Amino acid sequence: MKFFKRIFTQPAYLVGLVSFAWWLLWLPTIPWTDDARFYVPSAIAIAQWFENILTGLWHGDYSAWSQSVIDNVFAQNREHPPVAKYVMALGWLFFHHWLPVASDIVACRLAVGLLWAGFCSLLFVAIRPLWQPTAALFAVAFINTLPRFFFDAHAETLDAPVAMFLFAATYFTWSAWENPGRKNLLLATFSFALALGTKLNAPFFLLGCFFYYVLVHPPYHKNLSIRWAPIPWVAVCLIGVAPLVTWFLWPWLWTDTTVRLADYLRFHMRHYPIYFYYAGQNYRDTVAPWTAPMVMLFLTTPLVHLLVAALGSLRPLWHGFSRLPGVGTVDNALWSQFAQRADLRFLLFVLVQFFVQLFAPSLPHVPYYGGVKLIAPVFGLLAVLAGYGFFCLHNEWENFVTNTKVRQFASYGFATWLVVPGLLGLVAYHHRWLSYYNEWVGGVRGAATAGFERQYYDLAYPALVEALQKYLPHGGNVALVPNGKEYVSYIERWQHDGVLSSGVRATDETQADLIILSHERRWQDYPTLRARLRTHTLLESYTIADVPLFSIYHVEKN
Amino acid sequence: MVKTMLELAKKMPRSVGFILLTALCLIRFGFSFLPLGKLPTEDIQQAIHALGGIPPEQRNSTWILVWPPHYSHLAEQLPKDLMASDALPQEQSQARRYSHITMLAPRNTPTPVELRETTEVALQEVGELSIRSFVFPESKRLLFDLRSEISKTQIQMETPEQKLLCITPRPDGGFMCPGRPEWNYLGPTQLMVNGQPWPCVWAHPISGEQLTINLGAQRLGDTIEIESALSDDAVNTPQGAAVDVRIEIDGQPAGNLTHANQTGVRVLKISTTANKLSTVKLYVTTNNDARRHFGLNLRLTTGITR
Repeated sequence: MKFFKRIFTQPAYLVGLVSFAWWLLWLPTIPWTDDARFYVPSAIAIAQWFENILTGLWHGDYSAWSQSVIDNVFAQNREHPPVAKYVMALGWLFFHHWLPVASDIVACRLAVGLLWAGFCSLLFVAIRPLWQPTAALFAVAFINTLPRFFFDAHAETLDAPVAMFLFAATYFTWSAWENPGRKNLLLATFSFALALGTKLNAPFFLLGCFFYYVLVHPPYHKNLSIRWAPIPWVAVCLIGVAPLVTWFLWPWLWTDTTVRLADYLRFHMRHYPIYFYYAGQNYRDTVAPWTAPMVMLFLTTPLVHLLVAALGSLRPLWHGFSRLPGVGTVDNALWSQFAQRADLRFLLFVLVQFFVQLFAPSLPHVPYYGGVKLIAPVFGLLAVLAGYGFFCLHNEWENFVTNTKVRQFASYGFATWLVVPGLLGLVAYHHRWLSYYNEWVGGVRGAATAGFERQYYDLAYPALVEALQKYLPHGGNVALVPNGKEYVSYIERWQHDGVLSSGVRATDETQADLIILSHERRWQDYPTLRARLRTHTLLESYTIADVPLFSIYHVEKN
Repeated sequence: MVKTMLELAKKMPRSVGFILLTALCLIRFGFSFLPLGKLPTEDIQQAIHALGGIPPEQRNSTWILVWPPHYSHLAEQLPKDLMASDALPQEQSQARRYSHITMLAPRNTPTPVELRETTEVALQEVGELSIRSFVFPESKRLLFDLRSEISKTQIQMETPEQKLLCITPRPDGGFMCPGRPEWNYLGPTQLMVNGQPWPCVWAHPISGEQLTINLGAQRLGDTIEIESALSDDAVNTPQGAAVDVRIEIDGQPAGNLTHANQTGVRVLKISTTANKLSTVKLYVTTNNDARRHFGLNLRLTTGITR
């Protein structure tokens, strides 16, 4: 009871609750992604293992801890660590297995949604004491109105969870850096371990910490040798303890640790190529230019959001820049101001982590693909910068509007106005958020014309199953091109959920009654397929701003 | 009112700037969703008529690009015998199937980035539409490319005793051989050759078996070009065996290429009788398949085109 009372009375809890409600509002129409095929079965296997452990404790049966059982459970999708899958597994247990209120995918998504609520609360908690409550609320509104990242936060993938854990690691690490108390060190270590146990974006966080350390405590010469400032305790915890915690969290590594860890690293260092259509060129055999993450971020984030965050980054950027050799001196006035203000140090830490995460996928031979999901961790950091950007704008109002109540009212109104473009993006691109492009490029129309992919690949739009049911109510053969393999499992799922006739079968083009063409430029066959299929009867095209995403053709049988 | 606004702008320049910027963004956003103006039917009919006038000898090498993508629906109205799409085919610059591009678009539509290598040779304005013609620089005309048309081939593993058809489609194109290890497939890949990624078709040979790639009946050009390479890793294998590639046209040996355990791409060019319909088969073999990470390309090409 006390907990529920706190939820409604503590602002941070309330922020989490409202964010979850907002997240939930959009859930029913979010398409499935091909990632469900990998992560959901793996999460289910883990959930069943959890259950076996629990029942085993009751009956004194500890076979769930045997190496063969562990290997069997964790061999699935072993190229990715398990923490996000634990989250999904808990969702599956609660919302699908024990309380059967949701399908397996939705149950996994609900758990990610709860994580989202926690993330929004933490964002509020991190910003509120540094600046204004309005700035903290603005940051939360900012993150909740980013169409692409908000999609990732609804998907059963690892991208949003790693972004959330890395945000927690950023906040707690900075807190521990400033105040190396036991609680802060523990939280920093644990949150970083969770991030390490989620996805490969996490290790780069240490690089960001190193850059920050060098900027704040530059090495200096003394007696003809280079001296370094003492290493902060939190760095010791992050490097020495967090990987051990991750090891404990990932039973797959409990045996043959070095071999399996090497396999994991080798998989990612020699990642198989993935098609990526970018700036009018298709990349696969060669990777996209190193600027691709930056360009994609610039084109797929609402412009006003970007500029508020840019405003918030000016000051830490200048402070950080002044520390570079030849630009400023260690004891300049700018730096002394920085040394006195904790919020500026936090901003600098966030900014450094932002750049590290943004450029991590630009390493040589790393394939960049699929919009901005590979740089998901930057969005939480952008929200902090936007919070400070808004705070700077809000300060201007102090001089102009003297009445506190009016100022507060105006401030909330101003904050709302600034997020309207993002909000409109959510509404207009509803359930097609991975097709969102900002005002700079002219939306998806402008982006498709400029040579960018109009959608992330192989999405199972709810409109697709509706169309299949409409045109094949009693069953029939359907070919999904250019890449039908993902849709075979979607069709099975839809049939299992009872929303698609059991007589619908995925076949090749020669046997098909219907052909569904997904307009994805990254496939080499797409231009020819588009040219060839137009000789059939076009039944319907599913579009966004008149740009087709998928088209349905009827095949006339002679 | 104006005075108050100016005063506001003076005292809170950034906030006012952001208020205006947001308004501009909303307007721009609204424009990006404006319904497309309906193009006059008369103009469309005239454009269709004009496209119908492409000379027959140029039709096979002409691609109609309906542009921009939000006008893609125009493609449905064009004559069925034309290759018309809202995207350009992805072809290699040394040999193209479509060297002429005709772009149908509303007037004043900017040239798509994909056409950056082309030269514009003609412009015809038909009411609110324009028909623009582009040509790629001179190149050989591509008639068949194994890497992009692997789905049209038949693959099999042969021993004197049995034949195994490799018919399981792979997600990234090509086929796997059922019941065989995962490296036993034929499909697009890239190998590191001389430290550079080299796009090719994965064709790992197997000791004691013959990998057969049957291209079926093909209209030949004047050349068949075969390239082959072992990956840099494979070449570093001590005593790595050579890989043999043999080509047959209409059942007759037409050439062979022995790829020793050496780095680099080897090329075999065979002159053929243009326009002849022939069955083309390729055989890949080795004595020892240890780390024979082998790739090849095969292209049928003809003359120089414009």
